Amino acid sequence: MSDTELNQLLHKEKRKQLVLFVAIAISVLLFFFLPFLGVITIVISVGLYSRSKKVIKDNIGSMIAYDVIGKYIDDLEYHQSEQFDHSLINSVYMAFPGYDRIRTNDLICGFYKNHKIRMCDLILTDRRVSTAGKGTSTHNVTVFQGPYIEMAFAKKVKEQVTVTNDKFLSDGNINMESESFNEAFNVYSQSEHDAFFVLTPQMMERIEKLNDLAGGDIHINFHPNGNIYFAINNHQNNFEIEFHHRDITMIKEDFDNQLRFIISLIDEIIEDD
Amino acid sequence: MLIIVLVVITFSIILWIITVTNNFKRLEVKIEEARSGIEVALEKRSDTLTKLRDAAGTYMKHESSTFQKIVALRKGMSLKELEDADNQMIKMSNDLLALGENYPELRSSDVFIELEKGVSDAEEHLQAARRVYNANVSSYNTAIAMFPNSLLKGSRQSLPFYEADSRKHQDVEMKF
Repeated sequence: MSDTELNQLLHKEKRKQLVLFVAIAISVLLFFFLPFLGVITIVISVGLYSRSKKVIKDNIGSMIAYDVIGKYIDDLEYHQSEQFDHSLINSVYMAFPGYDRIRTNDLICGFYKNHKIRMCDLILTDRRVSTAGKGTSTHNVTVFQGPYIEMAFAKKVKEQVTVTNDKFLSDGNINMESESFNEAFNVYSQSEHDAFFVLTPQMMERIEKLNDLAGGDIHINFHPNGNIYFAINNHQNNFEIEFHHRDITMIKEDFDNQLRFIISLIDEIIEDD
Repeated sequence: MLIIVLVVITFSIILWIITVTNNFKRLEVKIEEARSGIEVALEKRSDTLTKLRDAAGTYMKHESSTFQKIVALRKGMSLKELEDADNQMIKMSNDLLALGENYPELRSSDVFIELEKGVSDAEEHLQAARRVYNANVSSYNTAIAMFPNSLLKGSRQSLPFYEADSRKHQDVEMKF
C-alpha cells in the first residue's frame, strides 16, 4: 500500500473516530434523559471507536513498521501483540529491580548486520503495599520500562555475566582492572574468567559509551545460550508507533527517529563487520 | 570499667587480625586459581597449535621441520617459565599463520580455517586468564602494601605481574 493510500485510510479512520467521539458525548447526555437508550448507544459507539483504533494500530501501524524497521532489519517479523518469552526474561539475570509482573509487546525478529536479533518493549511492575493510617492500599509501581534486546553473540561463556549501572543494587562481585568502569558499573558472575573473557578493554569502552548515550540505567547479560541481552530503562515504549500526526510521512519520521536511537545503541555493542 | 575497655580493644584487634589475614589468604587462593587458569589456557593453545602444525605439515613438508617442536608444558612451572612458553607459542602461532599465506590450498582448507578459529579462541581465553591473574595480583599487592594491613604481611612480598611479549601479540578483537 502506498503512502497516499495509507494517508487516505488514516484520514478515513480519524474522521470516523471524530464522529464516534461526538456520538459518545451525545450518548452520555442522552443517558440522563433516556438511560436505557443512552447505555445502548454508549456501548455501540465505544465498540466502534475501539475497532477504529484497532484498524489504525493493526493495519496502518503494521505497514509503517515493516516499512521503517525493514530498512534496518533483514527477514523482519513484526508482531504488535505477540509476547517475548517471559520465562526466558526471568531466567536471564539482568539485575533488574524487584518485580512481580512482566509485560512485553511489539516483538521484532530478524537479522541486523547478520546477527540474529529479537527486540521488544518491556515493562516490569512491582505490586507495593502501603499503610496510611489504619488502612492499607496496594498499587503497581513501574520499576522498568524500555527496550529489551536479544542478539546472537559469538563468544561462548559457561556462566552468565551481568553488567549494570543500577546503583540501587549491592556492589558486583567482580572487579575489573578499569577503575572508571568499576565506579560506573557492577559486574556479577559465578566465573571471574568468563567476566574477563567477554569484558575486554574494548568492550568495556563500548559499554561506557553506551552508558553516555542510553539516557537510563542499562542492564547487560552475556548468556551461556550464545546470546547477549541488553535492556535500557528509559521509561519509553521505543517500538510503539504513535499516531500523533495526521500525515503518514511524519508518523514514519517520528518512528524512524525512535528506532534509529535503538540502532545506534546496538551499533555501540556490536563490532563493525 | 578498665577491664571491659581492655577486653573490647583486645577483641577488636583479634578480629582485625583475623579479617586481614583471611583477606590475604583469600587473595592468595584467587591468585593460585588465576594461575591455574593461565596454565589451562596455555595447554589449550598448545593442543590447538599441535593440530595446526600437523595439518600444515601435509601441505608444506619441506618447511614443517621448522615447527617440529611444540613448547612443552609441565605442571609446577614458574611464572617466568610460563611467560617464556607463552611467548614462544605466540611466535610459533604467528609464524604458522603467516606461512599459511604462502599456501592458498592450505589457507582455504576447512581444517586450517577451523584451527585458525581455535587458535584465536584459545588466545582470547589466554588473554582473559592473564588479565584475571594481573587484576588479582594488583589487589594482593595493594592489600599488603596498605597501612595498617602491611603490619601483618609478615614474609609476604609483592608478586610480579604476568607479562607476555605484547609486541608479538595481536590485539584480540570482539567477534559476534
